[in-house]
Amino acid sequence: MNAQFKRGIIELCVLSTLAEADLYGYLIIQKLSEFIDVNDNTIYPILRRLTLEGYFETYLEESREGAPRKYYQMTQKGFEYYLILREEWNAFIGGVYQIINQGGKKNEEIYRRFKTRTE
Amino acid sequence: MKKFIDDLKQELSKRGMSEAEITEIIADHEEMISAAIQEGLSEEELVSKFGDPKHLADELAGETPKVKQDMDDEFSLWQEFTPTDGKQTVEVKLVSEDIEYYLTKKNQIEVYANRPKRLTPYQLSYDNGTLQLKRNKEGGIISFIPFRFGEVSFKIGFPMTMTIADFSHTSVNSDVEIAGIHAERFKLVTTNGDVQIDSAKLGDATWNTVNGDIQVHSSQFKSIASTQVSGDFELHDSSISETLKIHTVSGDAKIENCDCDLLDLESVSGDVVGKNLYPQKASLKSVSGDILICNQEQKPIQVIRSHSVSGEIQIQ
Repeated sequence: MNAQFKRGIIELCVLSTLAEADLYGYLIIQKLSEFIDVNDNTIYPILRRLTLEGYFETYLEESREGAPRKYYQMTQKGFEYYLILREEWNAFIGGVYQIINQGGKKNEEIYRRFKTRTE
Repeated sequence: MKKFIDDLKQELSKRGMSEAEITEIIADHEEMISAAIQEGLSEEELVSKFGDPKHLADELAGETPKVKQDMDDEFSLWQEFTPTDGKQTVEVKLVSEDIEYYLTKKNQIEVYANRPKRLTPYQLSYDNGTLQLKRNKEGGIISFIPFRFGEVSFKIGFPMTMTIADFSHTSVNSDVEIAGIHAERFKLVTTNGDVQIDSAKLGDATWNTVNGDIQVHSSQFKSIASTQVSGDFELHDSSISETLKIHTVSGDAKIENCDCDLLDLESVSGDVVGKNLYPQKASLKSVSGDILICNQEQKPIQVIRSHSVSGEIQIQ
């Protein structure tokens, strides 16, 4: 996949998880890698940039295991940015969905039409 | 995972990151790794979760906004402004003063100058989100002073959280350096000055130069409209989501590792070389200049127009 494109999607995913709760770094990686194939290499640089750009702030909180953890919290500016990206993405993916399902959702039917046309 | 941390430290310093940045990134990773170990991840799982330090360092170097580290000694702070909310505009009109625009970690717009005693001909203000720096019209003996005492230079730092809606710079002989700046619309007009742009995000960018050279590295644009008479233009490792328009009379253009939607090239006698330049569509026109695009990857380029009177046009 185009690197730029993938980065944009992961950025949106990071924003989505932090729109709902304050989380520490490892938990963000954990939550995203449950659904998509990502790791620290892809997530942390984006998390760090969004923080430097003022979309997140950080604070330290003691963990039950002892060592304090850095929590990321979304700022107002971050939330506004999140809404814009989310709208854009929804409009885009909505269009893609329309295109790929023009011929219905059933693979068998698409295949049957393809076969009758090409035979 | 000690090796991961050690390698990461080394890779980050190789990429010119500051001590403070490295310390912060390492601390974040020590914390994340210890959190993962507490969750009971095996060594193997840790390796897949944290990946490759080299790759991580590359990504970090690419993602981290380029912040200026040290101010040069001969410069001193002239004025500082706290950015107000709302739309931000920058308007700079100079004659032959060199200027550098950069990003700072502070929340203030800072203006530095190298000759504090010679600032009377300049007007600097920040009102309603508009930063203005101008040289007053002057005549008579005053205009000779620069030749006797050397020219004033400026450096203007913007908070890295700031997005500038409209950025315009006009000057005659000034050399201009831009690092890391984030603007939605960018307009630059210069006659003889050279321009360097690095790690910037400039939305719709327009520049007009006569003799000055322009060099752009690692930047992102929505569109570029570059008009030059005899100055040369270089564009490296950048991406343009829409149109890359280059019009030159006798200046040469060199483009390396870039992609764009439409490449619109017009040259009278300047030569244009594209290496790993991947437009979707291309319109190429020249009188006597040669246009050569040679790419490693075979991606189709739809050529809308290709015309030359006596130059050679080639796509390889």
